[in-house]
Amino acid sequence: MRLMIVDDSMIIRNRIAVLANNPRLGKVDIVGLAGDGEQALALAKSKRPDVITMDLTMPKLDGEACISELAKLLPDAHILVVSALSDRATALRAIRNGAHGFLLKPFRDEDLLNSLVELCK
Amino acid sequence: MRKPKASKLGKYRDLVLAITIFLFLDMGVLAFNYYTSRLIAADTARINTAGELRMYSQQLAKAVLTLNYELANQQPTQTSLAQISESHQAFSEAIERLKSGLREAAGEGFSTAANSEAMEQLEELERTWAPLGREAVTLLGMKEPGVNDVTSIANLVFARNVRLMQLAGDLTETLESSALERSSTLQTIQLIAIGLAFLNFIFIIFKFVRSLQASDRIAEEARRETTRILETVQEGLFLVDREGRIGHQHSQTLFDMLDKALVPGDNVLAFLMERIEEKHRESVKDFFDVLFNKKVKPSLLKQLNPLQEIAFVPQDGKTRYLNFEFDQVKSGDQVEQLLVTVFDVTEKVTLARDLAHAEQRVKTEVDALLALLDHDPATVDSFLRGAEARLASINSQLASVRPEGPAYRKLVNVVARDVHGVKGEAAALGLRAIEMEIHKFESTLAPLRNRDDLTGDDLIPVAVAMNDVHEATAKVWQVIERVQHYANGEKRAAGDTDSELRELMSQIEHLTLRIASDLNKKAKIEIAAPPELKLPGSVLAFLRTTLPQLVRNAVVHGIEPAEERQRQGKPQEGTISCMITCDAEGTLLISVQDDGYGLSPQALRQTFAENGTLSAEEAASLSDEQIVAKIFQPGFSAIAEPGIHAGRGDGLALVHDMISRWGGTLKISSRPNTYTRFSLQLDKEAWQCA
Repeated sequence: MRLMIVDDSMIIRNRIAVLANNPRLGKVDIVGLAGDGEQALALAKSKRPDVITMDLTMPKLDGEACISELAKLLPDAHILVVSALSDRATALRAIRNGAHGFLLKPFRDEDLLNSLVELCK
Repeated sequence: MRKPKASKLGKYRDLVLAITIFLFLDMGVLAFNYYTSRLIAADTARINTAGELRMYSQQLAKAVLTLNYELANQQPTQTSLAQISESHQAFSEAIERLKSGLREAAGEGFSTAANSEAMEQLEELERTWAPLGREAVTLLGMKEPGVNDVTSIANLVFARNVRLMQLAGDLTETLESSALERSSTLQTIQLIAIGLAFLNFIFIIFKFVRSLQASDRIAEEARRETTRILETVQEGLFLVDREGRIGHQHSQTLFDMLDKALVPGDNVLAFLMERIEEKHRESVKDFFDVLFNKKVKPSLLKQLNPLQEIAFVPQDGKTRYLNFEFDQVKSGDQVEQLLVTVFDVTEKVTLARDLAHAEQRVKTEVDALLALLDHDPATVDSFLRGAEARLASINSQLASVRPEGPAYRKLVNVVARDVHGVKGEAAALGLRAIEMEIHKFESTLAPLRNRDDLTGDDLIPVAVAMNDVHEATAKVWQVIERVQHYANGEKRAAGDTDSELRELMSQIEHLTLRIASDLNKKAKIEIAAPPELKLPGSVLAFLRTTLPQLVRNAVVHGIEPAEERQRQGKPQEGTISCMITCDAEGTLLISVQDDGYGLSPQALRQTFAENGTLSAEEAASLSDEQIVAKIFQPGFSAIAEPGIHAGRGDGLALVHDMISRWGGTLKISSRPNTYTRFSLQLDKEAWQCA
């Protein structure tokens, strides 16, 4: 799995990166860590990740716009939204824009792993 | 496990095999026919050649005799010689053709007895011909043959022509019988092949019909089982295609559950849009958009599903609560259809609601009891009597109002302000039930407050809501009565204003913390009131009405959320200071200050324009003082949606109203992002004589 982590919080980025080493996910290469949408797009072009975890509220280019761009750029990549925005409308919008999973912050380690495993089935 | 390759053909394997054999047999018969026709053509050619031998022998004999006659009569001999030459050559060639033909036939495996006999006859014919042929060659080799030269060949012709003709005739017969024998064998083989092909064809038909019958039987059995299942299940089951159409197979209960007028082929989304509440429609539409997304996992679909315990209004009008569950039906990689399961959960939802109501009722009563036990009985008593008096006054005003629009409107606004005061006091005493009922009552009043066209009918819901508030206060009385049965403690002396002030301050502290906790804010309150200060009951009532409004205003509008404060470099916990002092001249000073946002005229302009209380032009035309003064006018609030703690624009209006009635002054001072202070002053004469 080539994983890219997109979140404006360094703490969350690092947390996901540490969890990605779990043997349940198999071999994971973290190919990019991005703090905003623009950085995420640039990294996606050069590193071509196949799994992306994505925050929604971010500076420069927000998550929703970024998901639409990423879905066009990497149509085969799986995108997991990890966000504190908990309403159903936000989740549905993200899925319509091209995301494939939705996880609410704050998350338990187990929930993130389960979401990633299910996403890559 | 990988399936064996042969099973790709499945039940059609035998059929395909039989058809292949049938085709091979047909092709075999065709090829054999072609071969047979070639053999028959060769046989015919040989029979013809054998017949020609008789003719050539006769021609030769005739030409020799003619030559003999011509030589004897000294006539020209060229024609005769040419005929001898032609006959000789044709005879020799015919023998060669026959020889090679018979050898070919023997080589093709058709070496029958007749064929061998023909070979022998041909050899004898060749032997009989040989001397005649040699004599003919000798004769033809002479430049000018004489009568004597011809005599020798003429004798041979006489001696052998009949024999040659007889032999050629025999050969022809032999060849004919050989051809007959061979064609009979070929016919037999052909008949056998055609018979086999026919048998194979019968097998195919038999197999095909049986296989058709078997699959029909299975399909019929499957259909019967499906029908039985669909007739038995209690849930609504149906399939939906990508266009949203309901499939033909569905459970019998489905249309009873949804609508009897619904038929297969109807669009399920359009149908649902008419039957569910408007607030759910958008999210249901969005949800249908992602249902056919092959990458969306079932667990996520479940999580996003808005059609859970959804209120559904069928045509008969009786609301039901339904759960819709969706499972993607995939064909290969694509989601072709959705399997939809509908559960009627009306009973469960109704039970859960009844339970929640019962719990809420018990909780409210317990809360009321606990709140009463927390406070001085005299304070609660004074509040309840005051509240009832105000409610009674509202009732009498409602009964006696002049029946015209503007009078109704004025009354509605007066009522709103009065009940808002009662709400503030109830909140300060922690009497949630009364606070909630008044909040509902205010919601009933809100849409009426700006209308000049009100009629008596518009006030009916107001009277009904008033009754609920009455009931809530009556319940508190009941609780008090019950408690009094058990009460054996010493009753506090009425009019002990010292302890009443302390009690009030403690209530204000509780109220502040509760509002902050409800709004997810962090706040503390610092209260300062000199212990020696003696206040008459009327001033305490004044404070009981005004202080809750001011601290409520400070927590709701002043104190920022903890994160915001942290960003500004302030302590996460906001501070509200409430001070009551008396200066040397005897003036009573009451102030409530918060260390929050501060008052910004510009922000107020924007908020009033956005929530529609002022037009953008009006807001822009007012001076800073005028725009700030607006917050004391009824109906002006800096909050878009009214909540239980603020947003109706009555709190500060009430404070303003009270201070005006008491002849006091009200001042605001503020610095952006530092503080806002509300200062109330009552002259000695005003408060000591009250």
